[in-house]
Amino acid sequence: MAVPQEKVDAYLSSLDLPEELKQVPQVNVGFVGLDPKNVETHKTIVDAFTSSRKVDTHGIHYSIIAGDREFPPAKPKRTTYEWFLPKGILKRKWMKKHLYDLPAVVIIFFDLDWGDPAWNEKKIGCSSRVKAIRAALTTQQTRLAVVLVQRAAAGDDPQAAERAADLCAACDLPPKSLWVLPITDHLSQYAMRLESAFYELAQTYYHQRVKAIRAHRELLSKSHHQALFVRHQFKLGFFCEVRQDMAAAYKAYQQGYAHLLELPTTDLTLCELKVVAAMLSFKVCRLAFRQNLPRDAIAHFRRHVELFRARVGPQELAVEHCGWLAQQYQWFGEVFDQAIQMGLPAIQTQHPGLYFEQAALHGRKRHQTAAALPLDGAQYPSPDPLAGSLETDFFGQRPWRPAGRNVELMDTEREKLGVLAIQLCERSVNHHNLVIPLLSSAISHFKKYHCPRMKERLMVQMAEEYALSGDHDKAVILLGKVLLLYRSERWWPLVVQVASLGLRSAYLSCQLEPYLAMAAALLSAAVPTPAEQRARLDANVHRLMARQPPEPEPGCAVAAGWPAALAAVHQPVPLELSSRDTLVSCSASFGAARYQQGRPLTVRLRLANLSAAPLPLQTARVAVAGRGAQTAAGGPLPAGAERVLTLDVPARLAELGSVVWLETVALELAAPDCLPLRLEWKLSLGDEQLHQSMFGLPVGAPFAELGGLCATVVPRPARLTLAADHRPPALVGEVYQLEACLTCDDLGAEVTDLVLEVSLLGADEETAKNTFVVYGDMCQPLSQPLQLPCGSVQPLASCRQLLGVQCLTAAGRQLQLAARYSEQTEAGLCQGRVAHTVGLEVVHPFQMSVRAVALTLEPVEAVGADQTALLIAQITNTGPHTVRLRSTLLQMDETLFTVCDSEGEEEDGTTSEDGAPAGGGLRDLVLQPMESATECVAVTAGAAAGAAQPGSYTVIWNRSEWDDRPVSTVSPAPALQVVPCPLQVTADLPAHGTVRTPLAVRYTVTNRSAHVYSLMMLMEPSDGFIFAGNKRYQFRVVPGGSRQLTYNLYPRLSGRLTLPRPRLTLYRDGAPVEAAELIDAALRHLPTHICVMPQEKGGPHDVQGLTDSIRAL
Amino acid sequence: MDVNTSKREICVAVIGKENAPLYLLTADPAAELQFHYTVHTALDVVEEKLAATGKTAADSRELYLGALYSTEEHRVFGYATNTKIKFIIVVEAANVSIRDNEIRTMFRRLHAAYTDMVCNPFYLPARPITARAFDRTVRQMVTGAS
Repeated sequence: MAVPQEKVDAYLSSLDLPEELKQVPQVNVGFVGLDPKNVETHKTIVDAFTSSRKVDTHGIHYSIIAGDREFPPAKPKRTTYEWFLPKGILKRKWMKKHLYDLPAVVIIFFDLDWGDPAWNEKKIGCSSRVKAIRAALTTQQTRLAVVLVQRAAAGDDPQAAERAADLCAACDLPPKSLWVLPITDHLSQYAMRLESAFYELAQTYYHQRVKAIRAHRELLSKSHHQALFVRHQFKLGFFCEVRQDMAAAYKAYQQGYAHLLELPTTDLTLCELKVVAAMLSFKVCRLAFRQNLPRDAIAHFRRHVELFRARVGPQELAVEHCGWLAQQYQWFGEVFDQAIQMGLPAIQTQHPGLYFEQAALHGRKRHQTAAALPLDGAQYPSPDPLAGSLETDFFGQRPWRPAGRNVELMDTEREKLGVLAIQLCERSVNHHNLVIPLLSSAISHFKKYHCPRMKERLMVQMAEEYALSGDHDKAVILLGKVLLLYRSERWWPLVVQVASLGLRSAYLSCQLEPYLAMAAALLSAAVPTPAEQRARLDANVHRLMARQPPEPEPGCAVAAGWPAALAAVHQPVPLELSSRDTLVSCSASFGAARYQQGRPLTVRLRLANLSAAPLPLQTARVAVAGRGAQTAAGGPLPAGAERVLTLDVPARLAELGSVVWLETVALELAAPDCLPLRLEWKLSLGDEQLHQSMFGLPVGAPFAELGGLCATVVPRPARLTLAADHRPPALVGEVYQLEACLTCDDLGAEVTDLVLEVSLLGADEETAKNTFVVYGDMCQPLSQPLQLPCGSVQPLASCRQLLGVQCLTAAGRQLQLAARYSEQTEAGLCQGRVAHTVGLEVVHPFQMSVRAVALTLEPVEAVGADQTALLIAQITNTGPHTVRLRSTLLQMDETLFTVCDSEGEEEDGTTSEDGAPAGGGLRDLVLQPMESATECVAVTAGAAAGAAQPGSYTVIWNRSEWDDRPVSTVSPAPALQVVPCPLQVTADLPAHGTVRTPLAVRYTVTNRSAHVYSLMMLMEPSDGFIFAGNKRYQFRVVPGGSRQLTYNLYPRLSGRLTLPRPRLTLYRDGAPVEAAELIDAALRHLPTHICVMPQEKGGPHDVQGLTDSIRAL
Repeated sequence: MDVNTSKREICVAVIGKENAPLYLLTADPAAELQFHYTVHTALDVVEEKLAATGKTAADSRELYLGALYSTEEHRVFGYATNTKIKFIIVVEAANVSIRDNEIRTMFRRLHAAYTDMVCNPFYLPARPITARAFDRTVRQMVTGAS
């Protein structure tokens, strides 16, 4: 029999923890004399007190009390408890009384200014009001205080002190209990200050109550008044909580709980015991959390549940026990959650979700127990035994028993009716509506604390609850989500369970898509579904495809909505399959592992019908990288048959170089009179691939040749061949000519947009800076690649491009030539590229050396002033090419030297006409490999002495085969020093002599200094010559002047003969002086030898030679 | 209390690297589904623990993960090898006599049995374990320990 809803609601609310217990107790302050409804100022006063709550730290509950209100009287104080027997544990009205009815402090508001003209009358009015209130509260210890509401802040009123004392005396109040509240803009600040004063007063009141309770305890005896021990501890805890003495309150409640456990229990008192235990535990746990002792809270709760879990009580009320347990977990979860919101950190293994989960678990048990109750045909008893279950004197006592007589069984018949009423109410409760919110809050907590799997499990439970309560739609949605997650973790036993649940719900709610999805999940080859179930599901799927309702699931009633649901389908029903082997075994792969850019991608589908009946395949479709291809599937596929389809997916040029994945495969099943169905596979890695990926192998690698789920788009083969025509090695400094030759094949259309790119491969920065590419008038360093547009090339034609490369250092280089081009293909304009690397050896063209010698051909480093030296330059062609030297140029420090070019001018006048600077004698000389050229240039030092800057020797040349660009190669010339030369001796003599023919030699001594030199010249005799002249001659040379000494030599022998050696000695003041340096410098460059020829046969020549010599002198 | 307590309810499971079950044995085959749920949810805690230790020192990690969580009925213990194979043992919550050391020993035996099994060249990793020798060892642990 159905129990009316209001009775069920009343029953349920009687099971909850009382509201006054759940709220945090607050100080109760009563206001008298305020009329906020009629008086505006009173309203602002009340608002000021109540609105300042938020910032207030004291919890104060204000109540407006009418002046004539009666307060609950205090009970007469007992002097002995000897004959007192408590009827229950906690009185139901006690908490409410102290929270709302009995204020701790009564504040009497009175409008009175210090300077009021009718002071005396008003004073009497005020004191009479105080007296009236005091009379109403005679039996209670409530504190009284007066607040004078004044129009202005009159702190400096001279009458204030006197009149205040006067008023206090009249009202019989201590002076501290009188305050003034001026109605000004700062009302809220005054209110806050008053509030702390009220709070202080209230504290003393509650303190007194605590003391009174403690005093009571002395009078109680353990044997008779155990219940009173619990009650007193509860009261103590309550008042301490009001006083915000949390530690004391926590201790008191804990002791109360300990006393409670000592109470003797029978089946009759168990209910009350459990209710009070829950109330005390609630307080204990909340205070423990409040004091940041979460471990203590959890420990207390665990103990509480452990102690009471087994105390089921009478078996017929086991359902009530389940409900009680569920309620315990629920309130603990809520308290825990509140604590977390206050800032307590929770962890994965300890958070409110766990308790909500347990609450839901017990809720489910409660439902099962209630459903199992043998209640067939039972009538709800009348009168209602549960009436007044919220008005019993004590918490947790049965309403049908006489008040306060809970201890012994009075009336078995009424007891039975009461139990029956509870059972009937339980049966009528919709437990699912209780369990689902619990599960939902548990789920949100599990989600918060990183427990996805725990959450999934609860979602399954929630779906079960929804299914039980008949809400199959929600169940199907939840199960669908969970199914995906379980499947992704390959947890097949759970997949079977969830899919079976989902299938039932989908069947019962006649939902086609979920039904098919769940059936497909069970039909997947990977899922260990029993064979007979598989056959049944397969048959059901085929029934659906034939637009027939499926067979009901085992244990389900026939759902009537199927024909209508099936008739409404016109569009293909999408059915996403997660496994390759469900209904149809579908393996898809690319035809090849690599596809050339622009060529269509072929996809092979191998289909096999796994079901027991033919499948009407219509079209097959695949999607690759965001695009698709479709083909006709070739009609019905008989059971067990196989078919291979090939699809061409159009190419996409932008995919060059990327890996394309096979994304989805879809099969459309359609036939006349048949439910259209679209089977879809979102392809993921299969088992083989998973296996490989586990061992770090590249996915699909061993099967790459067979084609897998991915393929690489590779560039098309190059249409062009690129070759370089050149004559290595390159010479340093020259513009090396390199011809790039691009030849097009005949495998396609014309190649357009040809761009030749020249770059250096792997060169360091220095080399790159010293390499230039010359193209036309442009010359740029190859640190940046050069791009040369080359137009287009017809098939089988070729394009040649001449480039110059100038290398300034001798390092080898890797020159990369690359050609980019576009080509028109069937898929559009394709880009192509071909590259060719040229290894370039760079060598020096010459070996060059320049050395300085004196006129005597001795190597010199210094030249005397006004003297002449020779520079001998040697050029050797060390390269393999024939080189033409165009000209040479010697440059010396112009301040010190003059380069003599007179010889060149004499020999070849054309150089001067060319305007080429003088100083080099080589013109248009061709040097074969390994040939050398030498030239000699005379330089004359100027008069000034000093260290010269190094000179340079420049050769201007080119390869004889490439005549266009002259190259200049520079070699350093030695830095000659010019030394001062104050005394100079020169010899003037013919180039050679002849035996027995006189030879005239003239020595000239020149003084270039500013002093007069007095010298003695001594000729040393020589074996080869007889000479005529002054052998010993003393003379002076004035500054700037010179003296000539002439000798006639008569050679006696032929060959290279030593000349007579002149020796000079410097005299000063008539005595010889040591001046070796001066003398040596003067004589250093004098010739020492001369070549004497033998006499020719036939004398006349002798005479001729002699006369020539004499003429020269 | 009744007959059930004489046989200790216990479940042993081996979970693969990708969290798919490789092996699960319960003393009471009727409750197998329930244990699947229990073991599956225990992976939440395993993953959290592995993530927490993985950051500090991967090599010197203690393989035994300790008690993962406990409900009114069960206590669940975990163990994870260096190759992320997880072993889960579920013990009845009422059975307070079982010591942490015993659980540790059981895990070590399980690990040894698993290692022997994996050495079989015909076993494909990440596939359900069907080896008879392994099954025998685990059955001994489940029944022999009681």
